[in-house]
Amino acid sequence: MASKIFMGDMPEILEQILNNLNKEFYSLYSCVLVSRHWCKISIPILWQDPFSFDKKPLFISKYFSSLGEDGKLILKEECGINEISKTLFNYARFLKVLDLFRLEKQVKTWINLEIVDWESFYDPIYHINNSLFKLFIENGATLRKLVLYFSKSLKLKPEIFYTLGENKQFFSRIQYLSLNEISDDNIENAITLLRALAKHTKKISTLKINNFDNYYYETQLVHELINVIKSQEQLRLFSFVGYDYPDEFHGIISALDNQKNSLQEVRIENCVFNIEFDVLNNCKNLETLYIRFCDTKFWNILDCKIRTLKIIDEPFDAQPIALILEKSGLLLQRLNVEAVVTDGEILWEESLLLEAIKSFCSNITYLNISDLGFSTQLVELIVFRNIAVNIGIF
Amino acid sequence: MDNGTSNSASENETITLKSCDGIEFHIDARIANRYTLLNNWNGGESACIPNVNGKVLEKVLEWCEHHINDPQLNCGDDDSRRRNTIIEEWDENFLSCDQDMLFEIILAANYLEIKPLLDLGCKTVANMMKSKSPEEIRSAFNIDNDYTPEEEEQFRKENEWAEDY
Repeated sequence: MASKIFMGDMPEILEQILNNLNKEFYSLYSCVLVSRHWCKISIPILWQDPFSFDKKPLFISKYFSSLGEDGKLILKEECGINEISKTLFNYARFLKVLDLFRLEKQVKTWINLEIVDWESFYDPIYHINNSLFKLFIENGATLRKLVLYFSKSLKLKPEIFYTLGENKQFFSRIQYLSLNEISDDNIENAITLLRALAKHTKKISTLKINNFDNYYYETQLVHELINVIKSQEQLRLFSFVGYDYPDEFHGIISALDNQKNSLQEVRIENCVFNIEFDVLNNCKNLETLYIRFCDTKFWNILDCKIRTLKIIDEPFDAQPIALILEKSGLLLQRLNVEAVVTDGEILWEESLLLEAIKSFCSNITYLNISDLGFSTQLVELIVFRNIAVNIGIF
Repeated sequence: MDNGTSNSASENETITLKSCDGIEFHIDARIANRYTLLNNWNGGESACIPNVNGKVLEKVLEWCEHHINDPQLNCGDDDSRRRNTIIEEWDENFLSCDQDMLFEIILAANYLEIKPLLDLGCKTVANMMKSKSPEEIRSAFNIDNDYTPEEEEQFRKENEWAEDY
């Protein structure tokens, strides 16, 4: 006899088991066909992030059955989609992950596969993108993860924003938000969407801002982004990747002051630190700091005590790193320093680094330093300290 | 900052737990401190843990003892733990038991609210399903197909996009 885990007595355990198969599309498909009970549990998991499926996106047409008459008419007239078969589930309501880049890409692929004469229609991508987006919002989907990407071609109809205002649940449980490339033709859409996020989303724990361009500063976008940061109840991870080494942040970094009690991890890439980064010193629960290709000149403003430090940079100056090591002292447990060599020569002042570790950071349990010369200091660290060392020695 | 490994009980303190079939276990009090429900049954004489027999409780306590110094995760870490199916070698060996025992451990971990063991058990079962056909899953876990042929065909049609792997 089957265990009661599988028979419907303990649906929460079967759900937890099947959640481990997230993105194992074939396995989840099999689970759907095992029995009626398994189907009920596995369908919502299979359909929570279908746009990440990297094969033919034939699932897209299954959504159309849930469109209203007006929506079906748009698909018929604007895209030549005449046959829409009825489905047993309203799959749109299970969506939990929406990545606008993947949405657009998968819709393009689907059109190429399924609409033979797509070239005879004016912009079918626009109509299908908007139909799907609206469908997800209106059919009760509640996102957990949203990846924003505004290409030149991703145009959103104004009614999408109206629908968002009417269906507050859509954004209300987002935990992960990533803001990526925004075409300057599309910046107004991005601003309106961020405004809606600031209004309806309070649960974001991870916020990633990628390739933030200087021209955004001239727009309302910065203001809306600051509102998003400030309106979260518990932001835990903040990541900022600058485009072309910005040294002005117009209050975006300072806005983290509202998250000073919850912030645990900060990742900064391609930036020049300025006085705004001073805010990190107020983040009492900050545990992990990841710095990649940032100008080291102003690191001395950092006075954080952290457990995990990861630095990836061109190896010029070890002094600022040694200073962070001194400040973190006994709290630092994991240190990862990776040199990215551009001219074939390693210039880390390794003795300074090793001396700082030896003098201030006796609680380090993991050490990874790339391209380090073999030295007595290093041997002392390995032999006399119980450190798991992963060092690229040259 | 608390790294989650601190326990108020000392290393030498023990408590007594009794399984539903009356077998007594004397365990490190720090284990019970980590898992509140275990602590509730620290009574020796009369208190016993319903629903968990001695054989299963012994396995559960063996796991707890091995992981006594693991850092405790925040609630928000649960998602990332759930999202991968990598299992450490010791845990893999520990759960290489017969299927009935594996399911009993999962049920006990769920009942006793030992979340990391529950996660581990669920990952193990999920790994057993990976890349299997519906028939293979039914046969592996002894499950009857209660679909009508028409229903099964309809669900197959609506979800066959995911068959492409």
